[in-house]
Amino acid sequence: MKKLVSIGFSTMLMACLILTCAFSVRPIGKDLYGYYQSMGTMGLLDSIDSLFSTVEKTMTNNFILREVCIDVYGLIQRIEGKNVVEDAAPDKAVLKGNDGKLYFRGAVTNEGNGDDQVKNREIYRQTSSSVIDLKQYCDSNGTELLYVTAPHKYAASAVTLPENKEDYLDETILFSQLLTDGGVRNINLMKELLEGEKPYSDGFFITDHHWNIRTAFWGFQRICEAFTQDGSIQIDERLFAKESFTIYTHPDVFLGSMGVRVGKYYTGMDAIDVIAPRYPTDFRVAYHTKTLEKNIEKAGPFSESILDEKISYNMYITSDNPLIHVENRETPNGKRFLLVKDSFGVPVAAWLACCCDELWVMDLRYAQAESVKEFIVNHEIDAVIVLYNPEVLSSELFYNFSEVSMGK
Amino acid sequence: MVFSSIIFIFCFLPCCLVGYYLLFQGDRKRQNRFLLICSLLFYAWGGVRYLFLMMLSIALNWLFALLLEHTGKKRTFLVLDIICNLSILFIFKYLGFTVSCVNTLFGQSLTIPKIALPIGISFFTFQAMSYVIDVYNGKDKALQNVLDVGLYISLFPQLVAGPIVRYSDIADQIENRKETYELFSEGVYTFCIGLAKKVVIANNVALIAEKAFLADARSVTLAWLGILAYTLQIYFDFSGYSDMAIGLGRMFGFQFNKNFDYPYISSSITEFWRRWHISMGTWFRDYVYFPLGGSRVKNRYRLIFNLFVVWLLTGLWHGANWTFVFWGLLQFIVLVFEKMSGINKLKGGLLLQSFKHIYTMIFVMLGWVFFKSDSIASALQYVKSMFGVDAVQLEYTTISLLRNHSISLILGLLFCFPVTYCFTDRIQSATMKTAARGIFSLLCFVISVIFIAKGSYNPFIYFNF
Repeated sequence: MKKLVSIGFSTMLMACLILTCAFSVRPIGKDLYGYYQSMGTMGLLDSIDSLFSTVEKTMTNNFILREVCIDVYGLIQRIEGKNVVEDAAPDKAVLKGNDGKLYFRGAVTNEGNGDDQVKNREIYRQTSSSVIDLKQYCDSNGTELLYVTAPHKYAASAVTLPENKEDYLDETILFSQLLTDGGVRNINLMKELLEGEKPYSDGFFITDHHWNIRTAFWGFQRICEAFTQDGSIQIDERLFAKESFTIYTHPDVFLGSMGVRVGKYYTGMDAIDVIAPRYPTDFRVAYHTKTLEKNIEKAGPFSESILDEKISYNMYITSDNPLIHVENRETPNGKRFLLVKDSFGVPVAAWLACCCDELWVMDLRYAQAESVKEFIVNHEIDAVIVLYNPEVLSSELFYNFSEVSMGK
Repeated sequence: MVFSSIIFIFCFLPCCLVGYYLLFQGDRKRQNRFLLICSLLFYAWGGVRYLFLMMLSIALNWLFALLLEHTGKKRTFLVLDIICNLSILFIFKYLGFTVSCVNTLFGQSLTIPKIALPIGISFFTFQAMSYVIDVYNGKDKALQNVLDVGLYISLFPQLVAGPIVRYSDIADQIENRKETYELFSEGVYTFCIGLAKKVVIANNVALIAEKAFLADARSVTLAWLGILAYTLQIYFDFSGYSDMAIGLGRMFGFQFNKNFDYPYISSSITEFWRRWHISMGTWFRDYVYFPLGGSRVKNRYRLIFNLFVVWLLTGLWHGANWTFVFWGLLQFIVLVFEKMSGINKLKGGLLLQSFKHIYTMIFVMLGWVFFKSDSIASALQYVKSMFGVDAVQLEYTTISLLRNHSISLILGLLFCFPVTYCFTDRIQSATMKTAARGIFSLLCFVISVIFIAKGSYNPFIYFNF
């Protein structure tokens, strides 16, 4: 028995090590290569410390049983009746609301005090003036500009915890007002969703912080309406008709940003809706990597060129890239759009590609070769849509349209 | 590197075991060299710069032990060794504190040096001193090879958080230990149980303690819940780490003495200190208290002075902050009271025993308030909250914390007592007993790994030590 315990324990540890290394050769190799590349900039002792921390992080993140462990951990938390699942990063602790949806603690606690709010409001004035400045620039080039505020998943009454909530509603209203005063056409989808008939939280995934696909599609249609209301841009009428789209649901397939931290047994998994044009389409999509080289090109109908095989929120135009170019070869209307967005714009970009000849999708979180203003001129853009969620309102990185983004 | 991490359990430990048992099986010298390399790597993982400090400590103590053994100036070299060790400890641990005290007391504005505290410096410095003192006292012979001294001082199982292994306890094991399946499997059991203590109980109740201590305002219930949680956290964290160290030592054939013996069942502070951090208590007893004269002194004032010195140093050993000094002095006051009144020796019925137990735990918990707090002022504020002064009505926080951490609290309260013996003692068959322990340990290990792989809250409370 004692021999069995001794040999069994040692073998189990060794097996986990070998399997972890065997099944994670690529990510481990990638991390170590990243370390090797950054080594030259460090001193000897720093580079040794950095090597240790890289190895530890890599082995921890790629541990062979990690996903199983997280699933079981979530199940244990569920059995214990916990509505808070702690995380190594305190603000990434996950709260379960009374509506069964998950929320990050950092998103529902008001970390700041009154002074911070005043400071934030000052920053909003600065970021809004950047948008107003962009509007004036667009006007001088004959380009349309539309600013869209995506809704933010916040707990409201869903989480009955003592922490104060940070809902950003007041901030978005203030921001919208500042834009309106500056003559910028804008849509506050957060406010509109709150005023809608359905419960606000229905607009979001259970396990992810993003709006769900149907809500994003509603957001896309609101953008189209905004353009057609004043006749500034002609939008294909088929995009407004429900029967022009096929909608089907993949049930229980997706674990979002909160879900991956608590596993699939804590609240279950999310469904993903696929909304695709029913009519014939033909796109050519080019994805630019972080070095701004084209590394993937896809061509074909919406289902082949725009949609990814892996079912997730990012299945529309494969996640966040610095720059994406979509060419619509089926229904040209001679228009070129530029969408400047954060991750909330991922699904919107897919449908927006149906509205124009060419769509450029730019993400200022990554380094760019041109500033937004330069891009507008150089690529003869007809309409610019800036789509951000309220969490980035005070982040100047997202609102620097005059200079070339160096990324985060 | 901490024991409760994926990198340690599934990378470092299996590599050590493979090297030790497969590559160098039967060659004690090579096994010891291999363990030394592993131990230095283990220490370097937390910051490679501090490895040089440890190597300096190893070299100095090796040299002084040889010098005092082979020359006629035994006392001189002992004093020099102690001065060197305490100087290293002072510079890295107490210099900043001393300068800030000088600034406060004399109205100076000297620049306070910001020196990062090397992990486990108090542990390895005390071990190193014990080596030279034991050689001085003639208990053991000095090791000729610096690598053997290096292994004793840096042996990774007890390097970061103890127990403080005395040289006299381990001298023979460096060359003549015997690895057996029985000892290895005992090591596995002890390691798994220690891991569960740390990961499943301590890390979870720590969240309550953090919430209560960091709150701007707290209710009476939150204050008591917070200190109860911290009482459990520090015990399960520290004893869990000690168990893991003892278990790891056994896996490599070493036998370390136990460091905790259910301290929370004590019915006096005197008894508490016989059960809590035993290796530190006996170190101070043998190397400070006894040399000062211990309790065999001519008058009680001298006894009180001896106790005062020991507890002042014990407080300071835990960290360079007035809160630790105050905590040490609180222990001193209660211990003197017990010695003078003889309350700790009173025997009586259940009522008296219950009273003594409650009195002990109240003082232990009050002590932990100072131990945990950043300053005396915040500790006093916390104590006020416990007794309803300046407390606020925030019952929802308490309810929410209880809802989310009740299982960990219950487990903590349960396993403070020797409940496992109640079950194992009922099993008659030795095979069944072994099987039951095996299953329980495996369960502890699996649950712990699940918690570790998730990457939840995993505080490291030994930075001050």
